[in-house]
Amino acid sequence: MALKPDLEQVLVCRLAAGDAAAYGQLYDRYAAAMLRTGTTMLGSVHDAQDAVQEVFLAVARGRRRLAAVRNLRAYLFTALRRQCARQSVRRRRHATAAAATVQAEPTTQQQGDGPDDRLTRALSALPDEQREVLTLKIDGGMTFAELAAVLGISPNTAASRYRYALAKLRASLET
Amino acid sequence: MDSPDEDNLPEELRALEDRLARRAGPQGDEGFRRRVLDAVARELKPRPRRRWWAAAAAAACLAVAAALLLRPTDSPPADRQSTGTQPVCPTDAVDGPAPTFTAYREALRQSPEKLDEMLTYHGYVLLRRSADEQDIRPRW
Repeated sequence: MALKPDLEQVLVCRLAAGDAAAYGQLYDRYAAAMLRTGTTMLGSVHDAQDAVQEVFLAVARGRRRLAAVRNLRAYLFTALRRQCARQSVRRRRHATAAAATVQAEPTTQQQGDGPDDRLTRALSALPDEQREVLTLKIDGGMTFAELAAVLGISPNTAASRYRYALAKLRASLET
Repeated sequence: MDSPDEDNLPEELRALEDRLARRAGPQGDEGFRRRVLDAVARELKPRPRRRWWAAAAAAACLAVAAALLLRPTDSPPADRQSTGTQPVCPTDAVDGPAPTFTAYREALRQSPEKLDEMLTYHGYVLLRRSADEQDIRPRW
């Protein structure tokens, strides 16, 4: 899933130079995983699309700083995680303001009762930090070392958080 | 010692991982791809507006620098007659030593302009002294 280091560096150089075709390659390589991760983090495809678009724009805007990037995947998912956190805060504020006047509508994702719907519900019931580790590992295809770098924790903590998350998910699917 | 449930845990967790990886998720459709890449392309384009602002800022800086360089500076009293302002007087030299022939010759040796400047200066000093004696102010 990851590019060879030298190929990744070539892509990074082309991105830094503002090569539009390189941004197309970046999208084709990472956007699907980013969308899945964003959807799991935010619970909404629409919000995830906004977050992913913002990340790509941020990469283009800050392209002169890309030369220092050694791990493109970790860089992108770190940016995505920050963007999701920003959007969550914004959405919570908005929801708090809206709650004063209107009852919150249930999200469409929680309506069905198929196996994937149950899984989605169980995922969204996990604590944020466990859900984050799970989606970054499974959807983002990150190693524990990369997870540790993205989350600012040790690889061991990342691994144990991942195991707890899986165990909790399994338990909630059994009930 | 482990319960049967615990024995199966790693396998169950692996199965759960597979299930998570295969779950239906959003795939960026072509419309979304286009939307993202169009926005990126706009971001990558050089911005003429920024250049315009940079040019305007540079012009403003040049105008300020030119105004500072070309503003009127203190000039000899003769140049101030047209402005009608009071000239700056060399008050500290009014009571100084009287000019000597040697001083004039030294000034001429340096340059005719220096001699001219010295003559003008001492002319002013003499005029000032005589004005003080008659209790009148020179008119500039």
